[in-house]
Amino acid sequence: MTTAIPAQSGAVEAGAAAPAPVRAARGGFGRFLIRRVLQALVVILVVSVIVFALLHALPGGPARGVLGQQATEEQIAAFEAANGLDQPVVLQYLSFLGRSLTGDLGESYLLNQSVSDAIALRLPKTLLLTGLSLVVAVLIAVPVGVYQAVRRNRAVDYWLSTLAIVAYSTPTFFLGMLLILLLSQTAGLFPAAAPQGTGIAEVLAQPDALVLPVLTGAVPIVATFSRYMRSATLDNLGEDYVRTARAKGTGRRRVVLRHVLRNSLTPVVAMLGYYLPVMFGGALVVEQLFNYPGMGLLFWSAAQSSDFPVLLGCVLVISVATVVGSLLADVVQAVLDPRTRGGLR
Amino acid sequence: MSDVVLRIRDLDVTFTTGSGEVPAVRGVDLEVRRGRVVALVGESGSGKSVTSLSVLGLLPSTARVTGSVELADGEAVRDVVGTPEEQLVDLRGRVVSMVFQEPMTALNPTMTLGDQIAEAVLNHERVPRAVARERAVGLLRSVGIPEPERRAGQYPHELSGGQRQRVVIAIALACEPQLIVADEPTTALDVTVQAGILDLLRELVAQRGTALLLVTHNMGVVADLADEVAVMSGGRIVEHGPVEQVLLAPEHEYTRALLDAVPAVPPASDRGSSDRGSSLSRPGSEVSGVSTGSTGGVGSTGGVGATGDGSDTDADPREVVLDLRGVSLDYRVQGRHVRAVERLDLTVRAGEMLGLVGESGSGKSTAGRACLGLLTPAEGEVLLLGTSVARARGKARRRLLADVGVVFQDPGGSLDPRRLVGESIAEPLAIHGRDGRRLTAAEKRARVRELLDAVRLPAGAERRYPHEFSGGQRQRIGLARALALRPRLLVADEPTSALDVSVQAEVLQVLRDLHAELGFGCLFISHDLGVVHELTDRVAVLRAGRLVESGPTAEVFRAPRELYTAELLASVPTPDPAAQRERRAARQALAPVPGAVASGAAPAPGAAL
Repeated sequence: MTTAIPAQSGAVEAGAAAPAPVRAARGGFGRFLIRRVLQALVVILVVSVIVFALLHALPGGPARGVLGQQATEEQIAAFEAANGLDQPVVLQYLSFLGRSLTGDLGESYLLNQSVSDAIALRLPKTLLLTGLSLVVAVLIAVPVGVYQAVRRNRAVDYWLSTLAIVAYSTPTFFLGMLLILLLSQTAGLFPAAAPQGTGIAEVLAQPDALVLPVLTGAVPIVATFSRYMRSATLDNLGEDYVRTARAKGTGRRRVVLRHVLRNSLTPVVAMLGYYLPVMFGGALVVEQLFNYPGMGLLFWSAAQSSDFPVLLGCVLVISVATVVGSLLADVVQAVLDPRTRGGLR
Repeated sequence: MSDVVLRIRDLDVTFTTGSGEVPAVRGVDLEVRRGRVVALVGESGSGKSVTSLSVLGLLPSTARVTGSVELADGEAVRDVVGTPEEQLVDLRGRVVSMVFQEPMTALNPTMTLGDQIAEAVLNHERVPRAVARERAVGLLRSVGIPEPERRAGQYPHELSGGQRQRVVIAIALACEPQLIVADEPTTALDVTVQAGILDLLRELVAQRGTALLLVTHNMGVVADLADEVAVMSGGRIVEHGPVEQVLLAPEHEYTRALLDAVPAVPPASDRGSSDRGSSLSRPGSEVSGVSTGSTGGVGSTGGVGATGDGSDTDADPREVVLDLRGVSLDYRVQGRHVRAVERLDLTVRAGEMLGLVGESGSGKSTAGRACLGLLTPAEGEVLLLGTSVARARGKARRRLLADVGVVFQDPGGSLDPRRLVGESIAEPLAIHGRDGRRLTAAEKRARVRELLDAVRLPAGAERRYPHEFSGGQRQRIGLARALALRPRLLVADEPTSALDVSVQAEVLQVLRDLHAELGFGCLFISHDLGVVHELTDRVAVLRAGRLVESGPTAEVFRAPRELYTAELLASVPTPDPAAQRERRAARQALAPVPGAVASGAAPAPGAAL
């Protein structure tokens, strides 16, 4: 209306700034993406600096850690010279960074293998395990949360809430043992050991062995996210737009599926992004419990033997994965909710 | 049922809450005929919204409904009470639909506007999706949305409040229902936008013969639109009749009290015959020029512009407590600076009330924040009692700001819910002390009691919590706190816009009395021209961050010099149906396109806070 009558200059003046957010919302998706990626890179860089600094601040440094308390000064000096540890810290960091960018994360002190090889071998398996757990968990948690919200304060809601709280407060290792005891030892449905093997294909070839590890990883996520989903859905059911939708004759079912679901997913997706590091932590326990050869196991043994290049590589990879995960969460959120596409974050 | 589309008989609605049964509506009878507008008026809690929701069967499950709500569905008559949800879904949108109060939240933020309108069509008609989409575009066009094809693909956040309300109306119209229930459809909108929406609703009723049940607390809106009025109080209809009769010769005491409480702007007929200038200047032509006020060729009125340059030579002996000199204020939005206020000059003297009016996004609240030292001007100076706020530091700054009191819009949100009222009021005393020394507990108690007495709250109020008070009482508590230090300037930012008219009248009376007694200068920020007219001595009109016009309130409102001010004034509906018809004509003469003044434009980003 106003745009059509520039003669009404007042209206145009008041609206002059209006096209800007509109443009930002439409063409801004690319810019939003670029900015988020740049932010992500900065975060990774900062993480690498912190980790590097922490490791070098350890008493005795990496040399003492690898060679043990009995090592002589000469042995340490030789080790440091061989690994470039006698150079200034800044140079060490820069050379580490330069090599990391080319995929060279150094040699493991103990595995007789390059760090990148060690990680490349295990990372896909961990991604597979956590990814499967996540997908299974979300597929269960979202409908359960929505169902609970719709049936709020009925018996079903209370039972599911109780179940979620019990599942949430059970430690992962205990849950895993419980599942092994119930489903493997007693019922004999699934094997207690995770699939072994070098490649993803090999792991996938033993689906029944995957069930228990995936389930153990998924249950705490289901517990957490069904709660998030329930409260997000409840919030949205009270929104004005739900009333508008009902006033135009949209049935309850359609209101929930078409209007409420998408709006409720936005906060939950954001939480998923933050939850990724927690899941890697969970993977550490699950892999240990089921003897699954992934990043968790690698990290665990490297931490015990002070294998610093491996630790550093793992932390770097995990932080990259975390940052990429939250980046993905943001992108999904932007797809779900047009308001976030303006790049306000 | 002849042409009766809605017949409510003996409607009772009771809510079951944790503390027992609460009756909301008691024995309401109402009829709405085709092509007629019936207004349901009353204050909050009167049961008008509950009645309107019961028409669509949208009451929450805690409500128990008896009586009947009959809707004409073609030849059939359907009673909403007792009809199961699955059948109500078929009635909603097709036979009766609804327009809600809050356009900012009434639309699904993640669905395109076109889809939201099309959904209403698809709910009731077996047509292909593409056809429904086309209908949506047509509906957008018919409610006055420019470029409907493009808008249909957009999301709600890309539109201004007025445009969103038009979309909500388009949804309500989608299946050409016989009855539209509009619950406070313009309450959340600026007056000029409100005028546009009212014009649209009037057209729809006239052209389509749709019946309208209009729920509102605004008597001006009633006068503008309604044929019949039903006044509700305490869940009952206390008076019901043709609009002229109820508004001009009310029989019931409550109706009279309600009408008396409505602050009014002077009638339109007084305007235009101005001795203040030969003709109205078009807005935009010289907008920056007018900010220096009354120098623009109107010799006879040079004295009235006590702002800006004029104030230095003004003979007024009263002390200047607030002086804004060429103040510009910026906001950062996504790293860019957005100007919210541009070179603003304002003066408030001791014992004076200056009204600062403007629509949302005009920068009036931003200017108020600058007066409190909460924002630092990008240009110019804010002088409090002759001292620059920006330059004062530390102790001097605190002492300076102790002379400024502030009252905010939301009476609930500005009081700490976990603190006793007495503690909240005493807080400024505890922080600043008096005359440079701390007050003893007994002195503080005495001062708190004195203040509560001044705002007419009973003794003992200091030992209660904010939630135990009504909105009007809370706002008076806020006023008591603002006055605790005997400030010389009071900044009141929309202090009554969240309140019912009768409560608003009470609060304003308290403010007026205290102002007369204590003689502080007051910057009264409001979008409500009626309130400003009744309360203030001088007024400054802001638009898009610039001063459009300023002068003595009576003169500016009787004979505005700027077209924008005239449009603003003409947009305020008055509770007299005949006078309102004249005002409408006057407004439409000012702005040839209905609602064009502001409804189309999204608010400038950052300017709206």
